[in-house]
Amino acid sequence: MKVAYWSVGWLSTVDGPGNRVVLYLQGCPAKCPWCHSPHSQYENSPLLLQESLCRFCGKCIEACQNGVHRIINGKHTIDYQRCTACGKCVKACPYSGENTANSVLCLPTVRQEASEVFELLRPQLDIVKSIGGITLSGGEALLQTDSAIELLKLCRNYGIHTCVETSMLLPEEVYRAAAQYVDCWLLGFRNVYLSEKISDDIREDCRRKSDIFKEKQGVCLIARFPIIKGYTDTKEKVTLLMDILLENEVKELELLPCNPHTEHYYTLLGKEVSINITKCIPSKQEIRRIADYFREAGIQVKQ
Amino acid sequence: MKYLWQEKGQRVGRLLDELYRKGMSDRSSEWFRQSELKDISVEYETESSAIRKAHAIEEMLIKMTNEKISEHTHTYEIGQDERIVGVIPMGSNGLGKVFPNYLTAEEKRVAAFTNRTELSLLGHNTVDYNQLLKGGLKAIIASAEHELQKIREKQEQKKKLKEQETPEIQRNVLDGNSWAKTSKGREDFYKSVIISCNAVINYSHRFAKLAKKKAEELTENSPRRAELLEIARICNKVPENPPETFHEALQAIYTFHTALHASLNYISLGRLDQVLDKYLDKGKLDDEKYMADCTELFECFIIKAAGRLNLTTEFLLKQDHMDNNAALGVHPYYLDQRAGVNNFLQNIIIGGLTPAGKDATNTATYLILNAYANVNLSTPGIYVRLHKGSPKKLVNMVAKTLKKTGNIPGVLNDDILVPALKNSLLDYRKDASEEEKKIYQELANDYCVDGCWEPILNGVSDWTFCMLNCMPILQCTINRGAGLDTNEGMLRGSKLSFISEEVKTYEEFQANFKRYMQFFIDQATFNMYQCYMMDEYVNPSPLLSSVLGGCMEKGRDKAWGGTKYNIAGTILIGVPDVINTAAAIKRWVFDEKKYKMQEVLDGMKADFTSGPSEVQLGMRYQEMKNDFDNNSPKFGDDASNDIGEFIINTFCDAVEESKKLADKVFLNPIDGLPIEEKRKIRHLRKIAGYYGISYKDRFGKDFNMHFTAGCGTFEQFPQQGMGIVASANRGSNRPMTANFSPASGTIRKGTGHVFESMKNLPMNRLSAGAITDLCIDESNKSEDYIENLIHKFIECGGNMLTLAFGKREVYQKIYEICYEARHTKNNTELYRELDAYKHINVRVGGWQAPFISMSLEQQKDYILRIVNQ
Repeated sequence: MKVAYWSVGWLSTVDGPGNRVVLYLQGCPAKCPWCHSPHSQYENSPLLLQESLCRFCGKCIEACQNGVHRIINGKHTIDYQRCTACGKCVKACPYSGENTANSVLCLPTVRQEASEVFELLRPQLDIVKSIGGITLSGGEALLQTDSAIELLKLCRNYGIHTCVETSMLLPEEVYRAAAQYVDCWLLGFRNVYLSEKISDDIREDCRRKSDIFKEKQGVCLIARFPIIKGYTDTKEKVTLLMDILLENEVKELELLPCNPHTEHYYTLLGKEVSINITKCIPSKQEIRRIADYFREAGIQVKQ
Repeated sequence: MKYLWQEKGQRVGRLLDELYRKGMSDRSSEWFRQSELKDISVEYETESSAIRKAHAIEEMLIKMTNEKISEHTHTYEIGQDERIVGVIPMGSNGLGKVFPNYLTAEEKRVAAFTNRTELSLLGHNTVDYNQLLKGGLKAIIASAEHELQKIREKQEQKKKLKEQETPEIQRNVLDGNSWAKTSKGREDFYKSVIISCNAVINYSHRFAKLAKKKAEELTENSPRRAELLEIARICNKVPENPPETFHEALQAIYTFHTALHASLNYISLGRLDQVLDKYLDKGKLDDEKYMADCTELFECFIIKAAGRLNLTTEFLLKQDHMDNNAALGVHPYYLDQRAGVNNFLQNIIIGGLTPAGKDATNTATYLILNAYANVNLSTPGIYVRLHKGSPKKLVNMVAKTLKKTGNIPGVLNDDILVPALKNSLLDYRKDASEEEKKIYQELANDYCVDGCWEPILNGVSDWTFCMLNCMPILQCTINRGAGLDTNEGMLRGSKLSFISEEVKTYEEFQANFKRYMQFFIDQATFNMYQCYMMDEYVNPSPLLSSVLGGCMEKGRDKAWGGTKYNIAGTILIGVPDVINTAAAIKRWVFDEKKYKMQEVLDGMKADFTSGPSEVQLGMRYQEMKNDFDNNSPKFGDDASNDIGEFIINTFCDAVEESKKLADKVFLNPIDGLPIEEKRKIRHLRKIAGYYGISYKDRFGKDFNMHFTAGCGTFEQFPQQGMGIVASANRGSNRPMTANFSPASGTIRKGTGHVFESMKNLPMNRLSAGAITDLCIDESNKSEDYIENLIHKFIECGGNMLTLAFGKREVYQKIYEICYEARHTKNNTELYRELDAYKHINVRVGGWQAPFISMSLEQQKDYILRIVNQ
């Protein structure tokens, strides 16, 4: 069973407890407007163009049969409608390496058998084994349900602590299938943050899913709260999140203020971020206010 | 074992401040002037070079304690807070040395032909201080006197026999190898030992006198007075007599070490935990005060041994005392002087195994690590020997020390190095007897590393080595025996080796590579055999020989076959670069046939660039460069393992093969061989330019040269890349990859993979070491992570490892200040600015060095090497 992923973080201290190897899987149902890896939302990442590195040699134009590339007046553009992500242009480009991020052109999605991915990660997992583990992130890590579970099983059998970051948007059966292989959940609560109207359904959805997670003994639940000013920090949403955390005994919360570098991958995709990121960055005071609010309720907050 | 961690005390803080103050100031006036030292060759003209050398040692030690001279050399001083005393005079592998001349004018002129001077000691050795401390210098002198007495008696006998003029009787009395047993050489060796050992005793006594004098200047109840009187007592006692306390043992070692370094022997301190543990009071190991005191003493010891540090580069030119051979002697070497400014070839080795094969970790192991964590100095270097059975606590403390210091200690993997060395000592023979195997196993278990990192035996071996760059071997392979250079007059390139056919397949490439490897290794091996015999008349080392295993028993200096064992290491430069380039050629020329070999040769020569009018060619080269740099298997990744294995095995095979032939030509006696065979060997000797008897005939039947093979660059990787055209992941004339580390920017899968890739390489054939230096972003510096890195390295069968943790921005900042300082006239303020960074040490290949003291080229290279995960 193949896993599609777009990157590996070989040593992270911010994606779950301790030191972790992070696998970023492809595909996401959430489509958050503040998402800083929009290419991960697709089943296959579209072609990424780092135009600042391009020397306009035109090799890509020669290699492409579909007329995807255009270089006019020192500007390189891509017609995504026509692009089939065949990779011929990447291969032809003398400034692009195979699977190297620092390239003019890049198709970051890799598809490998779960066992191959495990073998790839294993040497580094040996190093973090006793001080952390693996984290499946995304995209939405569990969208590739079966292959992600297979990888989790392989890791668990090898004695690796597993952590999954999820949007909480997937059906309950997905969580039910995965729960026994997950030691720690990073809960994205997109059902709260993306909702336009606060309703009891959300609360109920969270309760049911949390119950599934908690069926595994000793599981660790960590909530993640992206503070996107004007989007996620409304009074209603913050209050609802608090209720959900208390109700479901989620005792840890990580605050993730809006990433100022969000536009990076949009630029590589030739797109613009749909929201004004500069306006979405919360002030220090605001972050502290939110942190205090949760802390007062006995929740452990990490900034 | 319980061990309580000790924090650094105020005294050590003050001593460190003083060391840093000196290191940041102009030290040029501290150097000895040649005119202050007597020319021994004049006074002792008729004596042998051994005796002259001994008198030169004596002269040096006397002048070091001359009050008048000390006004500028500061070599006869006891600092305010010092507990270990004695001062090593200025000098280093980069800056050169000053020593009394003891060679006659004619000797010097002839030595110019063989690249020798009186300063040409290789160093690169180690002392087993157990030998010294057991009976003190007194016992060594007594033993020398005893031997001298026996020689005299024999001479008397010989005189009487001569009077009787019956040669048959003479032969009966003068058994076997008459030269060794009765010659003047032997007599002079023992005399030279006595002169030099007495010189050390007197040196120590003069420090006792100084300490006493300083004590008497203080009031009765001053605590410092008591300390000084204790120092005086100790210096009067050791190293003449055997020490009894930890303080005495440390002072004895330091005094002898000072005398060795003052007499040009830049060598290591050896397995000090194995030496010192017995001097710790076993009844007081739980006594915090006692242990704090011993730790402080060791910290004082480190600070003293680091006394020659030059931290600022501001005044280096004024201190350049290097001549064409002062550093290593074997060749007029293209040495990176700046990188060697603070290289004194002094390492301390801890942990590991006992000769019997048990884990050797003891209380002193922890104490020494603790002291290093507290003082964090780049010299003396510190290496810890680890193996799968090392105590978890030791690995944890190594990680703790690495976290605290960001760069020490280095790690040596016993599981790999012990079998590798044993195999080399057995000369790769499969038919060795059980007894031989046992002896060599014990020797290998007890190994040390010298002042860089090459494995040697613990105080019983002499070591010589040769370095050769692997890149020209690769170039010859693909360019029909010629190197690649841009000199148009050279047609195909510089003709370094024999001519061969063009290689068209990978199999042909492999066959050719083997032939060229053998060609270059033969040159190296034969050179080492031939050079071996020059030292006796130029660079005898009586003081070192007095404690080096075998010399006292045989009555020979180490320079003349005295040591029990001789090891000759061949170090191959640029192996990671060659693996990367060969892997690229395999894929793109032989497998995918995207490029023709000639195209690649032209591309490499052209640094993968073209002239402004050759647009198409430029594009082609860019494509090639991209394929070579980014789209080919890399050293440090499993994908390159086949090629890595092939290259290392080819190298090690060539060393073994060379040894066999060189033994035939130089080493083994020909007596008893069939006449035809004798004639053949004599013939070969003449071809080699050697007309003498076999080395076994000359030095005794036990004499042997054991050959080891290793991979590394030491600090010279920038120089080693000069004149070498572009290859995968490096431009023309750019530095080679440091030591046995992945090239900058090629670690794409985390450090775990780098170690994992070693699992499939024949690391256990690299008995001369292969050290992987990794620089890791500081944000990853957790104790647990470091501990796991080390475990993984050991488990994967890595050979040697150094880790440094740092911040790119900080290194960048330092580089910018240094750059400004080097290119601005009014730079005093800029140099002052560097003061804030004087504590940052990093790895420069052969050893650790203060980052601010490194050359710009080294600094630049280092910044690029940081692995950010």
